[in-house]
Amino acid sequence: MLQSYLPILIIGIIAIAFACGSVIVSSLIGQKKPNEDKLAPYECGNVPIGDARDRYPVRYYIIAMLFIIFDIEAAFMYPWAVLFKKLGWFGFIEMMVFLLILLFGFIYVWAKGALEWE
Amino acid sequence: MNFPILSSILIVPTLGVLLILFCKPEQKTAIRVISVISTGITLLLAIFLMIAYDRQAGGYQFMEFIPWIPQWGINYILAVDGLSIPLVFLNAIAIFTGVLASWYIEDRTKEFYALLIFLATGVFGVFMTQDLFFFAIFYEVAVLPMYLLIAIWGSGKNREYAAFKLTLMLFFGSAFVMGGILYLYKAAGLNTFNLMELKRLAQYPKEVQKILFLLFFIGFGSIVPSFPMHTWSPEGHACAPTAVSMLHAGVLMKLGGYGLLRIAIPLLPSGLHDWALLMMALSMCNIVYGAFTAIAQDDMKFMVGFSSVSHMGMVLFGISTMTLTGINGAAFQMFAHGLVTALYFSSIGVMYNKTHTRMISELGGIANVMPRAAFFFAIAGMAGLGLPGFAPFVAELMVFIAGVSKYPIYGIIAVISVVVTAFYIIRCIQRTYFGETNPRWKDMKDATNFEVVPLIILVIALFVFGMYPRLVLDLMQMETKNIIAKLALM
Amino acid sequence: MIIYILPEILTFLMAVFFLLSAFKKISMETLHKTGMFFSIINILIILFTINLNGLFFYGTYKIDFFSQSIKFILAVGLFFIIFMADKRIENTIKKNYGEFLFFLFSSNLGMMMLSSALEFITLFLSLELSSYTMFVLVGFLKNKKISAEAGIKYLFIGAVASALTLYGYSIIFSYFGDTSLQAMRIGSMFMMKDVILYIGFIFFLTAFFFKLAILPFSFWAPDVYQGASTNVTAYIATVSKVAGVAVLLRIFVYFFPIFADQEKILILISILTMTFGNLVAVQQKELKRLLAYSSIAQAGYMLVGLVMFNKSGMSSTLFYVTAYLVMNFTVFLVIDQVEKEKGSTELTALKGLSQRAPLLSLSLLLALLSLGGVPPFVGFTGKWFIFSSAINKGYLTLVLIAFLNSVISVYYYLLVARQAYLFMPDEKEKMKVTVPVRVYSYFSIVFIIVMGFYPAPLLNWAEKAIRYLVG
Repeated sequence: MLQSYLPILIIGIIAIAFACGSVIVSSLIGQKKPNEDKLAPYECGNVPIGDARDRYPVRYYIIAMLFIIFDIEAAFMYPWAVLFKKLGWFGFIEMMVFLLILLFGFIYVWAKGALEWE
Repeated sequence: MNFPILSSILIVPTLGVLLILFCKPEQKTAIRVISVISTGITLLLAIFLMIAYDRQAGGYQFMEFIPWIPQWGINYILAVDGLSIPLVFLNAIAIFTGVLASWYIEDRTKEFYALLIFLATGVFGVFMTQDLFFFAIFYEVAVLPMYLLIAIWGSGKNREYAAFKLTLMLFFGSAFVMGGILYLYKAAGLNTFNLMELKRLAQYPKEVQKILFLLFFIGFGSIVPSFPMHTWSPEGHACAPTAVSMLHAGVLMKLGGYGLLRIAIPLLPSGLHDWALLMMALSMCNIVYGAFTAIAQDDMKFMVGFSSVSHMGMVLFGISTMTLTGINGAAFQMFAHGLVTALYFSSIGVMYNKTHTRMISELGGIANVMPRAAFFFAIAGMAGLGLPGFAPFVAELMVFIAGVSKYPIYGIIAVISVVVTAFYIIRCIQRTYFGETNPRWKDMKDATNFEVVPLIILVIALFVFGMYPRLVLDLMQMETKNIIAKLALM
Repeated sequence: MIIYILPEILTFLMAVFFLLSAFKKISMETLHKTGMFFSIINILIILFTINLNGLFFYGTYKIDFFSQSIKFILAVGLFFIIFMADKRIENTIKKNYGEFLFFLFSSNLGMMMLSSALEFITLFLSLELSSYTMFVLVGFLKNKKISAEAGIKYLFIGAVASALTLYGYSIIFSYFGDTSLQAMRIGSMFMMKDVILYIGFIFFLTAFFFKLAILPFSFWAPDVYQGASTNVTAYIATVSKVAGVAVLLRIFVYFFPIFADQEKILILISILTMTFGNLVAVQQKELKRLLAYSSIAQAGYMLVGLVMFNKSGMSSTLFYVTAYLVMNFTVFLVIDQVEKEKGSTELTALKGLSQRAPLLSLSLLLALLSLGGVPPFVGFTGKWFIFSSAINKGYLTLVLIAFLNSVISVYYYLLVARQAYLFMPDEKEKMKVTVPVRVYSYFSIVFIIVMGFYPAPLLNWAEKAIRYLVG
């Protein structure tokens, strides 16, 4: 049963070996002549100013999290919409319970100020 | 008679502990009085047991049986026979005199007495129970207060180290005992922890007996203390406060011998056969090493500690002969040595409270200023080295008779150790109590009447049982005969 | 039907109540009293439903004596944890007490569902619900770096553990084709013992071993225990372990035929766990870290009982984990009281406690000795039962190793106790101990001693629960 997966394993190994191998061989065989200019970070020819690491606004992370949650909520509503008639009242009430739980979460997020931009 | 006398021996001290715990720390007199009364009642109960035991009938008497956890075969069983009664009596005397000898403790009196009596209750439980689950419980109850007792109220810079060493090594030994008990339970296949049932019904194959006996020897041997697991003992003796040393050397160390005689040997006789030579060799190490190291000690309590190691070696030596005289001698030695050691430590304690030093080199001519303290230590020393008229003489005589007949060369070495014992004890007495009085001690007061009471009790006991050892030997003989019978079947 | 799942519904509603209470400025005392009141109601409702029996939601949710008694213990644990807080609690928690209680109740809800789940998705969902809320609880102290670090570590390791469990389950699912545990119970009797299936199982167990802190999934424990606020640590150490043991019990019973061959590997894991936990704990100087390593070792003992795969082993483990809840909670309560006074959880903060708070230090001493397996306390009796069931299967060496491990653990527990008893305190005054804490101390002392000496009530309850689980 597993024999059919064998080619995939071989391809994987070859790919990894090729990638690692080329880097390792070049670092072993290649000439090393480090130079201050050569080692400096590249910024389109300009001289780099300041630290490369900036503080990333945490807002983006929060927006991403909230997006995922409510997007999946919406995604769950699609199958329900398709089978709406068949599920009838039972499906409707179940879906409302689901939406209600997420509504509590939404109210909490709103009141706590996570939706503010500043 | 249906009065649960054995449970009372357990309950009376426990009630004493509870009452003490509810006292305020300042009510020291009340605490001491409660301790004396509860241990005194227990002593009376123990004396009653000695007298009321039907010597004609023999066997287990005063049995109490309450099913506890039937599905696991655990029952609350208390019963005593000829082997347990003297040891119960010994424990009762030791704790009673120990309570009296601790009258001087002012610091945290409440916790001290509570822990001390709790420890003694555990020892009572070990001697009286016939169910292996409860044996395991009481066995460690007898060990666990030692850590606090030595570390808080002990003396010497090393007392915390000594306390840790003692507690951990004894727990290490008890780990083997627990494992052994569980394996006994499983190998018998009867789903019971009832020792009496196991003795009647269980048959263990020889290979199982060999392994199990070794486990029990390591376990019980570490509390005997058998060489090489004895290292906790001398320091534990020395750093502990007086009453704790009395209980420790007097009673705690007997738990090992009792465990061997009660559990390991009757259930695993062929195991004893297999390991007897090893036991004999280790007991020789105990006897000789203990005696010679005692010579080198300057601290009196260390000297007595090593002497205890040496004398407990005689217990093992007697057991390893596998003869009636030997085992009787071993059992009686447990009893006698307990009394002697209690007397040793309480008399040293009486002197230490005044002089605050135990170093032989610092003391000298104490007898001139403290004749009474000197008198009692001298008696302890004489009894300890085996002077006829006192109990240890009978015990050592029996062990030597059996030892020399079974292992001639080693028996003679053991007898020679008596000479060594005499040497260091008499030298100690001479240097400490007699001779020129060290000017430091010119103004020492002697032992008060009250301090002398526990000492007198112990001396009387030593003398009575030395003169008429049959009071105890008859009791023990009934049980040891059964053991020999089982050994003979092998 | 509502009656059967009333505890869960009520817990959910209580959690939502606390969530919504975050908007009005309600004082911490009111919320605290409401929290205690709610948790008591929870306990009573569960007691009311304890003898019910039923299978719900298309066979995914089982209500029986086993599940309801686990819920009872979880609810009692929740009550203890809420009871532990008073107005001297950390500022961040104090200001957001409503949300704190919301997370606690949700976590408890997740654990309650975990004990009843009979199907993989339900199991996983409840596991995640209880875990994620705990991740937040650990990182609750926003202004303390150590708390944030602990929270992130817990989150990452927990997420990886869940991922590995899902992977393992996907392999198992490929063999059985049905997510319900019942199908697995029946199917595994006829299943071919394939290597891939075993590998799937090892991966599947990851998240549950993670929850219980069993090697090699236990490395989160020290940092998390140290970084979280003490009452959250108490929650993780006690209640979460009960839930972990309950779900492992169910998994082992339902997957029994497959696991039964793997006894030796699981025993090896339990030996490594207890030895590692005990040996490293000896070095610790900080109380919560020491207790983390000790709880790793204790998980090792519990695993021994579980892998015996018979009723006696499982009931002994259930007995032990319930006793463990009380013992461990006592220790954490004392640490918490000392921390509120001195602000430190180092070993030396306990200095001289026996003079300043004799009742608290007595309960601490007894709880520590009980954890170390010293008779006549309930820890010893629990270990005795677990090791009896082990020896009945012939594992003498395992039992000896376990008892020797107990000796090592006694050493470091004594290190803690000696701080309280051997040294004199710096302050002269007695410590202020409130009446509820006193009452709890008396209760724990009596419980530890009485259950150690006469374990029959607790043991009979545990055996009855296991009978319902298996039958």
